[in-house]
Amino acid sequence: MPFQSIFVISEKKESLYELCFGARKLSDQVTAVIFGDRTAAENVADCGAKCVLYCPTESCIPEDYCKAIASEVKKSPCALVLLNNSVRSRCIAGKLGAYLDTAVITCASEIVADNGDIVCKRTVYGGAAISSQAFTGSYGVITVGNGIFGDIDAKYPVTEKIEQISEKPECTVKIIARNEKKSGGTNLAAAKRIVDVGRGLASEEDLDMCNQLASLLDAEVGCSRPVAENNKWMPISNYIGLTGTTVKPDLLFALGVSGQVQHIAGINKSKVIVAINKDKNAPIFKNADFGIVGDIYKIVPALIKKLS
Amino acid sequence: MNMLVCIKQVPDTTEIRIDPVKNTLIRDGVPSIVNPFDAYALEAAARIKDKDPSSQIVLLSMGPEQAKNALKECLAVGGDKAYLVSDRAFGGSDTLATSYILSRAIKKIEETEGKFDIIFCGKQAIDGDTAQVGPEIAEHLGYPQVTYALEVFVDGEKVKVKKEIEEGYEMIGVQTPCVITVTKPSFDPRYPSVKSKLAANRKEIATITSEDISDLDRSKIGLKGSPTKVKKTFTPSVKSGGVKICEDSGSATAKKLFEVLVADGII
Repeated sequence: MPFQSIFVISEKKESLYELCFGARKLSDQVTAVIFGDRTAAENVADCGAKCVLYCPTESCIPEDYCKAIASEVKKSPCALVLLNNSVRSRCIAGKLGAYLDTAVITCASEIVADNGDIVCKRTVYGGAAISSQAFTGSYGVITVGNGIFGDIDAKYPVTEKIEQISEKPECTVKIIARNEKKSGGTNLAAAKRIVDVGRGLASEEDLDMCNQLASLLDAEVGCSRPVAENNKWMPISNYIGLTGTTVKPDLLFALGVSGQVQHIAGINKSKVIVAINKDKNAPIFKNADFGIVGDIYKIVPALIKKLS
Repeated sequence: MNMLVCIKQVPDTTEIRIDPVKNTLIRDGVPSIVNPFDAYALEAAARIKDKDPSSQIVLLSMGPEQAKNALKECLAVGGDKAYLVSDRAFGGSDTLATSYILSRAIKKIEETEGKFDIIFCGKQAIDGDTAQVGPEIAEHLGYPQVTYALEVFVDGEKVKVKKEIEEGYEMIGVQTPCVITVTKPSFDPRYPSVKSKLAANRKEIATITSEDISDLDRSKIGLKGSPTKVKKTFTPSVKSGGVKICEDSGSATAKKLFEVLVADGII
């Protein structure tokens, strides 16, 4: 089913530009939907969209606009909706899927037009396999990882068409409090060098050693899912992998990372992977350009000394 | 609180291997487990019941007959009753069709069990990783929803949810009836006892077929009701092995690594 128009929905500016760039490769009819006021919309008028719709969020949350967004999408006889993989986007995607009576393809790693079909590739079975899927109806919703469209190498004219979304939000839940964790603010997706920390790290204090190595290399620090999700040593936004961030640095240092398929799916676009792990059978070595079988507690301090 | 928890039986994805010759997935002999996120959802419900023993926890799964094993496991760790939605007509359903069927089945079960205040789901299943069925059930039912819950607090009619977000967490207030999807919390689900296992084994699990759901729209179920089609499934390519460095001591290894990286112009 060919899709005439594409709706790009994003609460973050960087991801909006990236998604619009990707959408323009598939269609000229791109509408951007953002959360904020008119000024916020004017700030992104050169994102590549023909029209920017803004959804004011002083008294509600982005999720409350799903029905309103679905109504806008339905004005096109057939359309594709593109979002990123954030917690919020995935919830919005599910709601839109229900309103548009279509399924959602999440975490797509590639979107191509193939004989009029829009075909998405996504990993399944925890990264053990890749499945290519296509929509069969008039609408489709896709969430994508960062970096799948490559570097933005196009400039688009500023659009004059900036409008407030016509329908009102439906406020169903209320935010009582918000608590932001330490760190954050790292932009792993764009990082040129990354120190990637795995479960080989014995305690939270040992992150200091990794941070030190990172600062000497001018690198950002990321981690595997258990380090963020089970140990809670780093914010969720710092975990790399299938359901986390996909990275594509020039250099990635994997420290005590075993290399489960889910994690590999997030790092295998790195140019050079250096892996240090004491288990010589760790699967990470199959994906590493430089494999070092050894103790991170001996090698990393020595490396820090060498680099200082 | 009258609660329903959706349970999916999934292959243990950490056990899935790739056939090195045929380059296909080896599914034979892969053990089936309760989707871990669904186990967390059940634990969240069980914790509410611990505080208010008059609460009820009903389990619901969709799948073949063998999915009853997953339901039995869950009956041993907090579930009171269990229903299995099973029918050949449901085969091939994608997330939209699955969530539609589950939402109709929930309405059917409510005729017997009363209206549910909270419908719990795991945030996603580990085999498909879509995180869509929960949000879509909520919309089919017209209920408010909170995704990625870490903890759920009930105070009378009010429900508060600690929700994980990329930058930390939010505390969300939501009215019942609602749908809550649960992510990995900081606590582990409880273990069954011998007694609870035996009791679970004795419990009857009712099967709901497409015939039992009177107002089911047959154009919305199974392959026909699924707006996505899978073109093919294949195994990803891997990088070929790289250089191995292994000197006698940590400092010698570090020195060698440093030299190699500099020589290759990487740092």
